[in-house]
Amino acid sequence: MSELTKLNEGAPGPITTGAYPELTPYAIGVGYFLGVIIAIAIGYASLKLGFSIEGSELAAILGFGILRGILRRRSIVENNVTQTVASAVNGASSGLMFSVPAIFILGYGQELNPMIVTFGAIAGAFLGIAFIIPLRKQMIDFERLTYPGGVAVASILKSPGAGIEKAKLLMGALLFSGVLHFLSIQFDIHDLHVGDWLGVSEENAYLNLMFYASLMTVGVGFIAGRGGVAFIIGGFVCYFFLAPMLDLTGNLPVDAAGAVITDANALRVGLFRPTGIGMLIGGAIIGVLFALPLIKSAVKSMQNSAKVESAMSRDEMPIKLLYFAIVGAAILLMVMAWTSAENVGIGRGIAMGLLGTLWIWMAGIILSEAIGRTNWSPLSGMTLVAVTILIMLTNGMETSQAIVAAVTVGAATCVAMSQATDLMLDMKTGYLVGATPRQQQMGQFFGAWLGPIVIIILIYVLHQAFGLGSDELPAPQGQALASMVSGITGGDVPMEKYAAGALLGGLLSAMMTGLGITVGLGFYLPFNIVLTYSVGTLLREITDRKMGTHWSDNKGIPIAAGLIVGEALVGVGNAVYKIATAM
Amino acid sequence: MLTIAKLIIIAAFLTGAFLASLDEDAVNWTYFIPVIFGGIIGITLLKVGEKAAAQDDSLLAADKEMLEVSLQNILKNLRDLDGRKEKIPTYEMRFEIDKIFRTDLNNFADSRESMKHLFGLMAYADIMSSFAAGERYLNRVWSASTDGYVDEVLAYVSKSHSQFEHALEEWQRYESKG
Repeated sequence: MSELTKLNEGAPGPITTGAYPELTPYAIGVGYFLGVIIAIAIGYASLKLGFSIEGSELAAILGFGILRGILRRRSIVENNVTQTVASAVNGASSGLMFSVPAIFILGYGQELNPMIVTFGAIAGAFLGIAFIIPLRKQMIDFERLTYPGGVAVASILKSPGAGIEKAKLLMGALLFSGVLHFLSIQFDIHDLHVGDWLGVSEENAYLNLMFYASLMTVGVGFIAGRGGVAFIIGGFVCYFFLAPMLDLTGNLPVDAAGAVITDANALRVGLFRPTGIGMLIGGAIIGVLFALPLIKSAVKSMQNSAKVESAMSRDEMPIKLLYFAIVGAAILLMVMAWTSAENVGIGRGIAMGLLGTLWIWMAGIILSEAIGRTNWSPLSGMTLVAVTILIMLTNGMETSQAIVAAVTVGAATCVAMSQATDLMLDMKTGYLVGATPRQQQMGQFFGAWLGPIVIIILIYVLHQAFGLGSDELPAPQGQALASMVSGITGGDVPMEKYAAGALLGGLLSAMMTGLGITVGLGFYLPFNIVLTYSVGTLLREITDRKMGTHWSDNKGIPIAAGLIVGEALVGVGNAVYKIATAM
Repeated sequence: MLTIAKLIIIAAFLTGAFLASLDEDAVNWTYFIPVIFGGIIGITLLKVGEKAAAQDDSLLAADKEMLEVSLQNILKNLRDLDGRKEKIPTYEMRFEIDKIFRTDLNNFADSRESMKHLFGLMAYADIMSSFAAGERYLNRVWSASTDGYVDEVLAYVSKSHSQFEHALEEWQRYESKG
């Protein structure tokens, strides 16, 4: 970089000539450094506490601090690539911590080959990234989905230039949200029990008037705006229509003792969530069918641009690379399935690899659409479906081998899905700050291989030290998958509910693009989240109408971004504190 | 017809969701399938109605005008900006962008769906590809302006300009095809 820096009279900073730093050794180095730290912290937290966090916001803030504060670098797009690399490394933590611990908890850890899981996860990660290349064009350039998390990160990255007032709003909201979340942790306030305050009786407990005490969720709802309304509708249909209707018609389920179940969470797990998972799938299938001409046009448009070597085409990774990546990674997935357990066989390995590849594509679309419209990712539900389908393919094999093979390939698909959503969020941020998609995609490839290695080592070390599934490391997500796998191998799969949900989701997505997925997400997630989210959406609607969209864009969104980041930072800080004091 | 179609779909969805919630494992398909069939009838009516509405001459004409005016405004402002970019202080460029482009960019994006009906999907993809790239380049100018990278600011104003010129060429090409 031929750089000539001078101070312009009256300018708020130095004027620099030469190239604008983007995918630089600094970006990659800091991205690796942060990615490894975040992946270990969040990976450990998910084993300890049962939650995982999308790393982009944290990586953007920390990268901002290191690049601008310590290294004195000044490039928003370089910061964006750092965040992309770091969150790509972290992508493996949510992908693997949900799936692999299940094998240890089920007692088949000895039969697991860590090398195969690691290489499979890397193959899956590359496959997930490759699939996103044309989807970026369709979902970000054409459909212009909101991606509230991506918008929030863009607000942070742009804050040095957004003006003092916007920066003050962002920082003020960040502090407010952070302090409130700190207090809620100190006083152990997770929800606001509005139903109890209003005296809602136990028989009507299904109304579930309980607000998740989270300003982050309000901020996400605000940024999503009308895009998130369908998600809210899904929740309200479950608890304000279906549950009362079941009550009125005497169809509420009963427990073993014969008592009527009115607990909202029990109804969600037993009745609504399986339908919601089906809706996500059916909504996606119809959505893909409807969007297929547009996806084809997107690919053709990329091919046309590449032929004339336009500036635009140089911004994208070559479409041929996408084909090579898909074929190569699919073959790796097949080999991995074949070698994951003794009796898999070549034919079954090919079938599992092909199915895994197809599922990654389908789930990538579901998750990208869901996170693009609402910021919530139904990753666990998609992994469950993947494992269910893969276990069906192992029909006739010994149970332990069937589970190891299915969960091993399932882990790779889970990492792929996690990479896909992470990249989509980062690319939305990139669009808003003017980053080059090719540089971001390369940054994601640079980061994606490292995460699985770090996380698999972490899993084995922690299993040796404490034992996964023990009191010390309960691994709640792994336990959930393990119990589901036990249910599947025992023939306990609500296939009819999935099928009915798929038809309902398909119906909605045929009515309006993405509707089946977002309404299905409302069926899938707890209602307390939906209620708090609806506060944010309502606030956006009010401010848009009363103060105009200009106010929302210039003041509302920085405030909402601050609410998201403040809570996320305190949440991660709390996880690190708990981990440190528990060790 | 659109309202009736939507009501049929909503009724089918709610009834179907209720039927699917009656049991933890099983679904009564004897009732469920006819309900979904009713929903499909609603979808058919909706699609017919939506196609007619989306192809309504007055809506398409209004959207076409909005798209054309916004694109022309963006280009006019970009030509002007490209011509005087050297005179604008690097750190000020981001405020210029916010001031002169955001409204037209949003207006174009809000009316974009009508392009599918005016010119077809391939045209939509080609025009939107150029538009999105041009908008992204303007966002890059904003970022480079914030960071004080003068060459990047100057280069990407021109790149954005040529990208929007390309969008207009695509627009005119498909418009001439009818």
